[in-house]
Amino acid sequence: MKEYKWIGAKVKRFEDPRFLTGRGNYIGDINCPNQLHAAILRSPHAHAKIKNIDYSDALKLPGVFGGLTGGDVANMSDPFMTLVTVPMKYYCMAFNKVRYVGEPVVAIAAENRYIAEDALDLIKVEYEPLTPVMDSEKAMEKDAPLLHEEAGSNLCWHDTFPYGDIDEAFKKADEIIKERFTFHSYSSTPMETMGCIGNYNPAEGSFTAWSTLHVPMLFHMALAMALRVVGSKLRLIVPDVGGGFGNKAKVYPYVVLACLLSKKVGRPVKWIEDRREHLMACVQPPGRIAEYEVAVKKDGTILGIKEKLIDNVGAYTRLPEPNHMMRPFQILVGCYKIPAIEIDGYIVNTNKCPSGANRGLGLQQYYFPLERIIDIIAKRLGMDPVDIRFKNFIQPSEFPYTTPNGSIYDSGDYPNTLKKILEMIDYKGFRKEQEKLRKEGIYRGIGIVTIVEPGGVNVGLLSMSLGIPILSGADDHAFVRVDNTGGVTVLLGCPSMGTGLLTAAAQVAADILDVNPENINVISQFDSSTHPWSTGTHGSRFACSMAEAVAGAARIVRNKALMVASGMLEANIDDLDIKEGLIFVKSVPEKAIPLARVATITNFSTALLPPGFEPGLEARYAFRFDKANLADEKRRMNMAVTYANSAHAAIIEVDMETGEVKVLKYIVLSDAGTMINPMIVDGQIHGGVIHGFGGTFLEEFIYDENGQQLTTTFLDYLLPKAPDSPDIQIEHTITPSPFTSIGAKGIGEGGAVPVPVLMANAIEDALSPFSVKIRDSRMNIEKVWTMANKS
Amino acid sequence: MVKKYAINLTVNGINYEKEVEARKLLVDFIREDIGLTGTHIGCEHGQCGACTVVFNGKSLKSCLMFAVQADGAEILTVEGLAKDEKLHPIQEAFWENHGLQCGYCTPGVLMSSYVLLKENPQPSEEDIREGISGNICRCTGYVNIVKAIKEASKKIEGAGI
Amino acid sequence: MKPFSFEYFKPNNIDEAISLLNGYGEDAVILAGGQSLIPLMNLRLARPKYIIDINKIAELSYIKDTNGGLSIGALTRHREIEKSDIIKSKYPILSKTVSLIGNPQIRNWGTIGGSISHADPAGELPTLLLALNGKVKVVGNQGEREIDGDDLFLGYLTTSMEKTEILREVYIPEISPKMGWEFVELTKRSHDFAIVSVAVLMSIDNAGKCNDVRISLGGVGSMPVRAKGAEEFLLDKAINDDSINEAANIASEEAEPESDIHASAKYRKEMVKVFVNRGLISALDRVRG
Repeated sequence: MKEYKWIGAKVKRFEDPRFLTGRGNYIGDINCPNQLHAAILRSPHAHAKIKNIDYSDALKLPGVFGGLTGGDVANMSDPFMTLVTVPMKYYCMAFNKVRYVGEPVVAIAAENRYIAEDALDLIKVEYEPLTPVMDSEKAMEKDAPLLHEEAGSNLCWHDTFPYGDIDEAFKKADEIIKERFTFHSYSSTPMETMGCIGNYNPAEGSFTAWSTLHVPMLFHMALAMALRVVGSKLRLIVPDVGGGFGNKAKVYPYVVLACLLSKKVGRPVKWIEDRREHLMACVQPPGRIAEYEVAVKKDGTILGIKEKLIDNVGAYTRLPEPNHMMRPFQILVGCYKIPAIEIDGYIVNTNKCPSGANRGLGLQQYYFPLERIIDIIAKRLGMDPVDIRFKNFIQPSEFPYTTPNGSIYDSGDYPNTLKKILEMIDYKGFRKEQEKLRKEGIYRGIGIVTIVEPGGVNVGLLSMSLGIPILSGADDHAFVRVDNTGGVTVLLGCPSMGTGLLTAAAQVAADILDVNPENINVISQFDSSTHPWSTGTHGSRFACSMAEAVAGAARIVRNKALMVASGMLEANIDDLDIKEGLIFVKSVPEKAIPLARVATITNFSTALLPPGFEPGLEARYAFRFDKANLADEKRRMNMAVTYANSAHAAIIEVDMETGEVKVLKYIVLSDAGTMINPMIVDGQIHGGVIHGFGGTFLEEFIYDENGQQLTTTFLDYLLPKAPDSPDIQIEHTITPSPFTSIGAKGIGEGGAVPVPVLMANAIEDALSPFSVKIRDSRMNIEKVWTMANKS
Repeated sequence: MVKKYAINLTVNGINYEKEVEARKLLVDFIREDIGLTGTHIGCEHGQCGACTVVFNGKSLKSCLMFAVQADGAEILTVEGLAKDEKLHPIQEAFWENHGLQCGYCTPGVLMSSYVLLKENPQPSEEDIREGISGNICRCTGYVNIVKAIKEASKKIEGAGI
Repeated sequence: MKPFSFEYFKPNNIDEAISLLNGYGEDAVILAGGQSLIPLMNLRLARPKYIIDINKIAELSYIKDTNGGLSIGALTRHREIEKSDIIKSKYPILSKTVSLIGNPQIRNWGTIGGSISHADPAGELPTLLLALNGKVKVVGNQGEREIDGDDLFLGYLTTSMEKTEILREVYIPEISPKMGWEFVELTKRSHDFAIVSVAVLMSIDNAGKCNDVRISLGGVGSMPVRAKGAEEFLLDKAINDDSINEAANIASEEAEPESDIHASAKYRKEMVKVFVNRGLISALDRVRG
């Protein structure tokens, strides 16, 4: 493995001092001269026709300057593009009809947010309530209330994806195991809510928008089209983002709302989502029903799985849905050599807050049945679940491994990962201890889960839901410049949302250019007019894609610098090296020239440059992942760039009297390939695990039968706090990716993904004397108590 | 005309005389009228702690107080921790231990830590987790925050502050 | 979420506060710690037109250990109660209970008067007041009067105080050092509002029989209640595992909790059993210890 100075080091983050001193630049901190503030009146009904809107009294309130309704929006903008083919008009505000409690109905622009909220009280809206439907299976029934008349059905998408010979698998099986699983809805609720500022420039017919949209370019086209402008007339700026986790991609309709309101009132309009709006109307990931049929041999070999998956995406199937369904296609077989998988997928609309991206984006929903099935198979066959895993693992010698649906797993050693974590948690010792404690009425359990964590995204994934996938590619672009003083500037296509990519990018550039990373400024603010293209910060893609783009640009700059230096120092280019910003001749180190001087020559003394040499010591590079292919006729495609893997193990104890679950030990063994900054990797795992912990034990979006939301504040939607959060032990193995020059694999979501199924495995194990079967993802205290006391 | 109330208070050692509407939340006042945007808004109903400041020596969620109540008060915000560009030991410890990621909850956590360590200079891990139980973080999982505060307590003891 | 407009007053003494309260009547509220009131105002669930901030009234903040009992001024912060040495030694159940409230910031500003007059059945202090046979002293236009804890809580967030009265003091009768005690609660996260909370005080005579027992329950309905049936059962009985179990069963049967998104009525009833049991066992340990 390559020797690096900065890559692999636990470098303190460069973005920290300003966050620590209160100098972060978040959307709430940004103000436009002459701006107004928006507040939004939202639907109190889950399903209703809008008969009339009268906000004339609101306009009379001193300090109010204008309003916007769905009717205005429909006149001024086009519906957003979607990734389903059924007709479905999705605007930034409700038009003619409201389809979930919390849907925007009227927006008011006023001097400040206090007055804007006062104005909402004065708005009169007449509704004709309709019957809502909340459950996805009920919504698919013939006489279910219809959300989108033009779609003709609440089932807005259905497709079947057979991979491998599924019939053969079922013929050969010794046992067919049938199970039904349900996964509940919870999200990542970052501490900073969404926000945006929209500013229309009538002189240019252009819009400038600041927002928390951490995947700006993925949505840029959709936004420009909705606003009826060419992309060059929509400037998207993303400042510091206070936690994204995918959730803030949902600010995109509000960007249009703020822009249109700005156009209407003639001033910039700022909107900051409040916490109640966030919980009700930001993003609520789909609840899922998964019906599995698994063909197994009696020695534990899994021959094939048929999966019927139903996702409840809420009132609109908005970007990037149906990606909770499609994203897991990156890892359909998990760690296992399953030769045949069939996905029969259903996307259903109901009268709840629409879904959207969330940390994990489908992976936790997908792994819940898959890793539960391993334990279930073990029970059925009288085997240890650990042995089922060993039996079915893809072996280290089989990499790169192509899964039945075309994913090309780059590298990994799953048996070693599992073996190590079993040692770390003293699996055998625990089993003895467990027996002993059971006799004393103490019920402890152990859960083990092994997962593949995809990094990066082949954008072809986005077109999988459109029938014939036409998109492809997992590119990233970066720009690196050395200026005339030797300072280095890096521009990324990825905004920062706190995951440390600014530091990691500096480490990569520092290693290649051999400059002190303190002299590298990775620009934190993203600007669509000036920054390179990238889909954005999502899908655990930084280390495997953007880092490669930075490396590529830095290499070009390095080579240019060496070329110029070789001329200036009259030495062969192979005789040169760079150390701490100084280019020198290896055999005669006194012959040297600073990088800064080289930069100056390329900018101010271009006559000295070799013929054909492009002036300037800067480069823009596009990383093109050559394995991000186009889907074939069987819709097989390699949908990720790298495939990290990890094993999670936990020992828990159930309080049989109350249902409380105490986590006694939590261990993660992570293989993320070469880690650019191990401290950052561990931080992502810590945060992810506690996200999963919250989702499993505390968090859920709850509705009553009339579609009223019952979890609208942090008193109802409970987040894990420090005293309740377990300590997490992390160890690493390193299997570098052969597909990236640095060998790094994208990570960030993997901590959060396995926790629900891990806890389900552990709790079922603890309660196995009571024949408890866990098929649902909720493990709150009453649920666990009910299971523990059933008998 | 909206009724305004005169208030006189000190923020990070600087005295201010301002006029405020009664309903203006202290957190909005600090951010808008004083111009210190390091104190953040996370929930506006006292659950997340992002708005935590030190008010007359006690930690306070500034979304749960009206600015008009702060007449005569001495407030310390995150901007007042570092002195002359030198980070406070707590800030250093957070930096060294990767105790922050997106930075949004961080000012509130720092102020709670500041008060915790003043009251309990040698806290156990349990004391630390209890001490920051009024602050929610969604990024770090608290692991490195606890490490950072433990480290900070050693630094402060070493510096004799 | 920004609050609705209001007019603000900061009286210097109680008389001024009462006069303001009388002047503005129904549309005025008292602002003490603000930890319960201000969230409601920010959510626009409470829209008082007049706020009477009593935080300047220093004479409302005190802890006095007098003959026969403990007097705590209404404006005394939870944190002050938590740290009070006299309370730690003579009323340890109060020390423990207050330490379970919220988190450091909440305890810095929340007041005993505010918590009790807010009357949240899941709040710790209302539940404890009943077990302590405590009372409150309230003052209004007609002068001062006392309200026994038993008569104070009428329903969800409702007390028998008049709208124009201010809670001035909480009085707790002396607790014999021989009394065993415990305060336990079931929460989803540490220090959350209780799903079920139990306060127990108990003493045993020389013959080993219970001669005084109070069990109060929180989270089991619209207001905290004494588990009178369980108390009656235990009086004059030997306290052991069996009598404790039976008492817990009775308390559970008596309780009439409601369901909400955090816990169902059925589960709460079962948890009453568990926590009365735990409370009594712990109190018994303390009696013996």
